[in-house]
Amino acid sequence: MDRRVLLLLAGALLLSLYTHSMIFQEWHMPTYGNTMIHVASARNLVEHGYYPLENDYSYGGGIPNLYVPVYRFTLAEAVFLTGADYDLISRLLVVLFALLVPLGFFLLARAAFGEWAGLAAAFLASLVPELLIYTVRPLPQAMGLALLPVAFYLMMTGKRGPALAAAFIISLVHQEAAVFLVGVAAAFFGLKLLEAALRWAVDKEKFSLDGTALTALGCAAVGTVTYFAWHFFVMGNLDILSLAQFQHHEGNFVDFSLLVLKTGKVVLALSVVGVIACAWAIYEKWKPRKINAELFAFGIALAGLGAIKNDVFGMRVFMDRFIVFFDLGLILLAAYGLAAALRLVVSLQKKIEKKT
Amino acid sequence: MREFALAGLLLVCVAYFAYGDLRDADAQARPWMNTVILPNEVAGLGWVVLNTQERTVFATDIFSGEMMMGHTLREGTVGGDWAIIPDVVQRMNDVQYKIYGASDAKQAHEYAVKYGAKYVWVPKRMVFAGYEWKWPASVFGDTNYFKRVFDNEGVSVYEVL
Repeated sequence: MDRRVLLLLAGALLLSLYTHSMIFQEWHMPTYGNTMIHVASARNLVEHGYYPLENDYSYGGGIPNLYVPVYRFTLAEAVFLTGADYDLISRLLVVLFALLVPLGFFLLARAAFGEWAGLAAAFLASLVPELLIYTVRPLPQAMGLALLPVAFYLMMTGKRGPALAAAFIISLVHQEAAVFLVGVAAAFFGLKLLEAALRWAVDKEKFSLDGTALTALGCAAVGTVTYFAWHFFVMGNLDILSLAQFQHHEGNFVDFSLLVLKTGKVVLALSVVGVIACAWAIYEKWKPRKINAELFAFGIALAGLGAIKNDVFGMRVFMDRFIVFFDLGLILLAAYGLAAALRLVVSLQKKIEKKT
Repeated sequence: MREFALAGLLLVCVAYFAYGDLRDADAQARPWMNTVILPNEVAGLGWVVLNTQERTVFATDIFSGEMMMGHTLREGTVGGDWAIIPDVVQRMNDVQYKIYGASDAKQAHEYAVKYGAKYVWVPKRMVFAGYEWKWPASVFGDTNYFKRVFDNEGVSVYEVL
């Protein structure tokens, strides 16, 4: 890898560490977001040697422990192995997430659109307020958000085994992250279907789907089956619609001003450029058939858009909570948008200089 | 190098606005670092560990309840994952308005008993049990219903009689 790229990537990592350093500002780890409920299950596991599956500590106890457990296992494992305090380990997990987020975006955007787009994504990830809000607290959602770009990289590049493993793990890390992963996989598969249909109908080619489409379909299936299996294992039923979040329609309506506030102006503006650049790239690269990255970027954005506007489909659950997942797609598009804009101005200047 | 002049200019523009977004992100995230709970509440957990069994239920707000479970494996009347809690909205309403916002000691006692609380955790800060931030009502000093068993600068603990 180019040394300049490595140096700049180190800069992006340092920037992310700097933005997440506020995790050490208080005498106690953050408590907003129900952080301590995960500590309780981890502590039970460490101190008593078993996971409190049948008796959660929430709301006076006596109910099954439905929340997916991988983050809690991670916390318990780290405390058990190091002997350090839950508070310190929780904060150190945030440091780990701070490193994983830009690294994951670098990996994903580099594989999709090249090294400079990878770097842009690594930097842009630090500019999104909502992403910082959800990764700077020791939460399963932070872990899910840190792992999703890596899972997307595996899915997009068709690394089937690791991609399926990632879908399995993320489904047991955080429920919304799992829903989003399944949504992205389904959206990408849908776009690949559309591509195959267009090639068949317009270009008169044989109808066929490539390996990445099938990998995405597999990830959607694994994510769905894993969560429902966990739900059935704990509850003995598959009735997820009876959960309080659905019954009471937890979440708020998302409008454009909220999206700007939570995403940041730069990522949002550059993502618009990215959408145009992606659409143009699909048009240009239709014949050589190298449009998986562009379709995947659109897939993330479409899944995110569907999630933040799920009120349109009558669901009305967690609309604003999905902004941060939509932002993952916008960061990828913005990185491509910035790289494309830079390429365009460089070629523009060359043309101007030739004329003069 | 000249061929990159325009690109450099574009990057400077992006960096200028990015700096603004970076500051916005910091400003939006920093309030989430607020611990809500007080240092002396955590100090009071020493008494809890010494004097109560694991899984003992305390009447708490959401933040104290989660602190209690995370630090001591005791339980709070509210706090945690609400996904499958029966009548969870009623429970939050009762804890907010019938215990911490009770009109008198008798009402606070009745609802503490209803939710199986052996003790009431009364922090010296505003409490939030799902509806609003309010100071706890001053009803727990009535010795017909409650007995003060612990007190420091962060919290008073009352046994439910």
